Amino acid sequence: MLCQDCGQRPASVQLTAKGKKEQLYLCDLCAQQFQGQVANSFWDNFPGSLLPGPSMFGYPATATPSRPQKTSLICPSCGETEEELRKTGLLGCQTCYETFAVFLDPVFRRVQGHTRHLSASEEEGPAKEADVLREKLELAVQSEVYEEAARLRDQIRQLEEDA
Amino acid sequence: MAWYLEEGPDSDVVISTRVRLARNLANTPFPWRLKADELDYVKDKVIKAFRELCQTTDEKPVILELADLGAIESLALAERRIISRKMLGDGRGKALLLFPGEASGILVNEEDHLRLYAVSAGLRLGETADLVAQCATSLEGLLTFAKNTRLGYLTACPTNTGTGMRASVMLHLPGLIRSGVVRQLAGKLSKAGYVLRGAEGEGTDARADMIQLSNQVTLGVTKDQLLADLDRLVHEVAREERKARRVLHAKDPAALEDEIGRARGLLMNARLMSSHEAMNLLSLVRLGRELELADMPDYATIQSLLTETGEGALQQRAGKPMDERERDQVRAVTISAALASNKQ
Repeated sequence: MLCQDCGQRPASVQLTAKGKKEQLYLCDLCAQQFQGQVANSFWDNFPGSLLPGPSMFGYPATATPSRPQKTSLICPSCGETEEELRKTGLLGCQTCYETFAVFLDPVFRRVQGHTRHLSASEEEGPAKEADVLREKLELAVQSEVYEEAARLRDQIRQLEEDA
Repeated sequence: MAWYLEEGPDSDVVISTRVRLARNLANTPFPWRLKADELDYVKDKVIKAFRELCQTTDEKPVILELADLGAIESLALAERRIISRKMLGDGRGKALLLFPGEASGILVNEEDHLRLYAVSAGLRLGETADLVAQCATSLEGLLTFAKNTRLGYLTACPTNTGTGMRASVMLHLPGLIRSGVVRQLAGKLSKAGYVLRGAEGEGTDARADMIQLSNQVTLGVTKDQLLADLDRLVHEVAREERKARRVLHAKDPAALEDEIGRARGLLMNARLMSSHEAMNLLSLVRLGRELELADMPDYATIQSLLTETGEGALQQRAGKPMDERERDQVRAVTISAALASNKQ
């Protein structure tokens, strides 16, 4: 069975989301990311609403982050701040998708049930280079290795521009 | 004839089908991040491409700049669900571009730079989606859209990322609403990734027993998969609705027929009629027609009254602003005249 999240690597872990009956079959990498989010008190308090809008990115009612926020992200292209994203629930430009990738994936996973587009012509083939980089980026941000994250982000941007 | 007067497939339950695609210009901040002159720049760029696209057609396309439209005209467009209520108010930089025939068009600078849409009567998901997809493909030859291989089309709200497609059907569900089954149904559909909401969109109540069913997911599922799924679900809902209507009628035919007959009587004879009351009574008459009761108006008459007796439409036809009381009076006269000339 393939991982239900990335759909590319074999599933090796079986998870049950808090308060849900359905089980998720994930590969090691996706399971690690998934558990990372669940374990983080920020996401523990995340509003359960599936409705679009600011609440998707909203602060939890009792915000007690497990560690102080070191940086607040700002989109280098349109200038949208993390606070604006939480307030409006809207991205400011296409670069925001890179800038705020670390917040977006959990939202996609929860609201859309997927984190990756499947176009009509596209079969689920081997992972594309950019996807692999993106996974590395997510891990780098989670591990707070920001220099590495910036390098990966630029590399992804370059790949997309070339495409 | 306007598209909404037609009797489409399964129109006893499905009033209309609407499919929209959200698109944004590449390397341009999304509308909410733009200043007025930047919005104008985007609007002009889209209009230029639109004109080019329409060059091959004989009929004239329509370009409406919302800033130039009066409040009444804009309201009338919103009542016909051509523009969203979100677009009312400051129309600066916003436009509505209608392809010939007016069953498809582009909203410029709503939440995204472009919202391409197509509408049709009854249940026609496949053809409606094809029509809007064709428009999007042709436009993509003239404009570069923001997208990438991992996430597909990039939109201002992450609930639209991917295909950018929202396919909705407007359903008339008096049977399921009265039997209370609609709540269970909403839960079941939501688990499958589909949402039931009031006729006027997000966060609104079901008016006149009309409910919109649309997809929630836009990422990780192909358009075709999604449309096939939705089509199957709508057929299921329609079957349940027909059953619920039969049960409702069989349980106490006299009571239901009395209610419907009284609704028709009020519509024909009232001298003052609010929009809310008119919608609810027209819904009952529509049910009467669907149950094939005698003396019910034809489909096009019911549809035109449901669509064209709103606050905006009445004032637009009168060519002047009217207060609530005047509107209620004109509405009552319009409805009774239409029903009187439609005796079958």
